[in-house]
Amino acid sequence: MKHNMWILIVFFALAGCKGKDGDKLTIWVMGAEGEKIKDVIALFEKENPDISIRIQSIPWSDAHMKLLTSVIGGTTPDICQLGTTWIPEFASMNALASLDRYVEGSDVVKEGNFFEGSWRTNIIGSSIYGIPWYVDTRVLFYRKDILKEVGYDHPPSSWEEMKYLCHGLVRDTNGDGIPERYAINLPTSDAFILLIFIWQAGGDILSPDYTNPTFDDPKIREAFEFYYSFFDEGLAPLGGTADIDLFHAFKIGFLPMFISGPWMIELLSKQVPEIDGRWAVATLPKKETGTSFIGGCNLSIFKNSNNKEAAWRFIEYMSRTENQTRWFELTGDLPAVKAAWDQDVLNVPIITAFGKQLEDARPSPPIPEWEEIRDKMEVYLEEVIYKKRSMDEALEFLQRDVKKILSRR
Amino acid sequence: MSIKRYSIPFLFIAPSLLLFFVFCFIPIIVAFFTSLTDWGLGGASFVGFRNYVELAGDPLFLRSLKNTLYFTFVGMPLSVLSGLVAAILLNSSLVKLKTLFRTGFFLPVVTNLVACGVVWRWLYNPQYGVIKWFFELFKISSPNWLGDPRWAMPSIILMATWRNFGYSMVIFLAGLQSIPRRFYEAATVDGADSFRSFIHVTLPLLKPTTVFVCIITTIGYFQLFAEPYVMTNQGGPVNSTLSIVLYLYKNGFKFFRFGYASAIAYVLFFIIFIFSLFQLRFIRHTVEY
Repeated sequence: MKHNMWILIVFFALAGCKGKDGDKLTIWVMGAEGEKIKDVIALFEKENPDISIRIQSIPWSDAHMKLLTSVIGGTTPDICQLGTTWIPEFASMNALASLDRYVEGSDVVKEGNFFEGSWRTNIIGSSIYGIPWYVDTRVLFYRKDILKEVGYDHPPSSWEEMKYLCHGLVRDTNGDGIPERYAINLPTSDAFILLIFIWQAGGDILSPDYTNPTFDDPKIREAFEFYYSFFDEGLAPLGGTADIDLFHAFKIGFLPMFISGPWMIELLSKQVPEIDGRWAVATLPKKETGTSFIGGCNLSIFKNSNNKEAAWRFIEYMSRTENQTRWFELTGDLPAVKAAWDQDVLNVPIITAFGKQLEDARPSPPIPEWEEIRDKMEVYLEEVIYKKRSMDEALEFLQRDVKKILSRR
Repeated sequence: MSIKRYSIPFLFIAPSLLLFFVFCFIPIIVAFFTSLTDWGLGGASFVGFRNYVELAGDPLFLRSLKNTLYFTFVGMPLSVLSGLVAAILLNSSLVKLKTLFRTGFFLPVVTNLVACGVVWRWLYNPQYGVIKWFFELFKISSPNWLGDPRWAMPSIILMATWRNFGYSMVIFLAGLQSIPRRFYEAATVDGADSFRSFIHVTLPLLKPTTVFVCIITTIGYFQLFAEPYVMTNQGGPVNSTLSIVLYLYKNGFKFFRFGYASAIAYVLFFIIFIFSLFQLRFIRHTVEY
C-alpha cells in the first residue's frame, strides 16, 4: 500500500514533467520577494544566457497549501523557496532532491560559509535538501527612552534582570488594576518563544535522536514558569495581544518591549517613523545560554525537476557573497553567508545585534512532526496561562501526547 | 417509448450530474477509504477504524465538537428567528423604503466572509473597538470579546447571525408572499385579529419554509470555519472557538494527517446527515391546505 501510493505520485509527477525545455527554470518565490527577485534574475540571466527563468510569486498565506497540492499532484517547480521548518515535511514526503553530490563539487557552497544553525535546517538524516538563502532570528526590541526613564541605559542581560526591569516598567497610574503601561508584548502562546526559553534554561524538548520527548526535565518546567510569570505577575497583557496594534502600542509606550524578528525593522520605520532612533534591538537575556531560534528561508530543488544542473547553478549564484549582500540591500533579508556580514552596509547597530544573536541560534527539531508538536505545546501553554490546567498536569500530558505523535512513525 | 420520454430530462441534467459525480461523489468515496488508512507523512497503510477510535478519545476533537454544537444550536435559532422577524417587518405595509432595507440586510450574505471577519475583529477590538466605545457610553465596562475564552464564541455567534439572517429573510419573504390572501380574508371574517391570524395562518403555512431554512442553516453552521480562522487566530483563546472543520484543516493541511482528517470529515458528515433526517421528519407531517 505504502509503495503503491508513491508509485502513483511519481507517475503523476513524471506525467507532469514531459515536454519541458532543457534550459527553462521555474522558480517559486513567496510574497514581496517574488517581485524583488526580478532584478537579481535579470543579472543571473545575463551571466548565464543559456538559462531562462520563470518566476512565480506565491502569497505566503497560500504557499504551504499550494506546495502540498503541487507535490501530491506532481506539478512542482524546479526550485522553491522553503521556510526552514518546512524542509523536514517535504523531505519526508520524498519531494526534494538530495543536494549532497552538488555541494561536494562546489567551490561556492561550503558548510563553513554559512551560519551553523541555518545550515542544519537543511540536514535530514545525513543528506542535505536545501541551501540557506537568508536567515532570521528572534531578538529583543526595546524603547531606549522608556528604559532610561526607569534607570536602565542598557538592555537586560539575564532572566533575573529582565524580570526586575519588567516590574519597574509596569505603570498603573489611575489605580484601576489595569496598567496603562505593560512591560512587554508576549504572545499568549508561542511555541517558538517557549522553545527559546527552554534552550536558554539548558533543556531541550526531544532526546538528541528525536525519538523521545523530554518534557519531564525540570529545565522545561523552569522555562514554562518563566513564560507563565509574565502573565501571572501582570507584566504582559493577557489574551488581547492579538488585537492590539503592536506598532501603535510600541509608539505610545503601552508595550515598550517585544521579542520578534528582522522583518520588524522595516515595518517599524515605515509604520511609526516618529520613534526612529528611540528604539533599539539587543540579543536575548541569558539564563544558562542566550540561545535564540533561527529561521529564514532555504532554496530547494524538487526531485522531479529535470533541470537540476541549471537549478544548482542558480542556487550557487544566490549563495555568492556579493549576491547575498545585494539581496540584503534589496530586501533587508539577513544574509545566510557569514562573509557578507563583513560588508559596510550591514555594519549598523541594529543589524549587528542580529549578527551577534545568529552566532547563538538553533533551528526547531528537523522532524516533520514538529508542526504538530508545536501545536500541542501552544495548546497546553495557553491552558496553563489561562489557569485552566495546572503546570504539572500540562507537562505530564505534553510528554504523553508528544510521545504518541513520535510513536506513529 | 418510455425510455425516450425519460432520456430527455436526463440529457438536460447530465452536465451537472457529471460534475457532481466527478467532483463530489468520487472524492466522497475516496475520502471514506482514506479515513481507513493512516495516510500521512510516512505513506499510507490500512488501519481499519482506528482513526475513529482515536477520535472518540481525542480531547481536542471532543472540544471542537462541543464548540460546534454550541455554535449551531445557539446561532441557528438566532439567525432563523431574526430572519423571520425581518421578513415579517418587510412584508408588512408599515415599513417604508422596503427595497433599501431588503438589499441592506442581504448585503452581508454576499460580502466576502474574510472581509467581514476582519471588520468585526476591529469592532470587537478591546482598545479601540466601536462596541467597547458603545458600552462606555453607558458606563459599562465590556469584556475583551474575542480574547476572553467565555466571550469569544458568543461574539462569533453574533457576527454569524448578522451575516446570515439576510439569507433566511429572503427565503421567508418568498414564503410569506406565496401565502394566498384568501386565508387572511377568511380569518378576518372569522374575527381573528392580526396576532391570531399570524399564529394560525402565517406560521403553519410557513412550516415548509421554516424547515428548509433550519436545515440549510444547520448544515452551514456545522461547517463553521472561516470566522474563527480569521477572527480568533484559528480557534483561540484556549481552543474556545476551535470548530470541527478547523480541527480537520489543522490535521490535514498543517500536520499532514490525511487519514485522520478524513475520519473527522466523515464524523461531521454523519452528524449533519442525522440532524437533517431529524429535521426532515417534520416536513412529513405537513398538512396540505
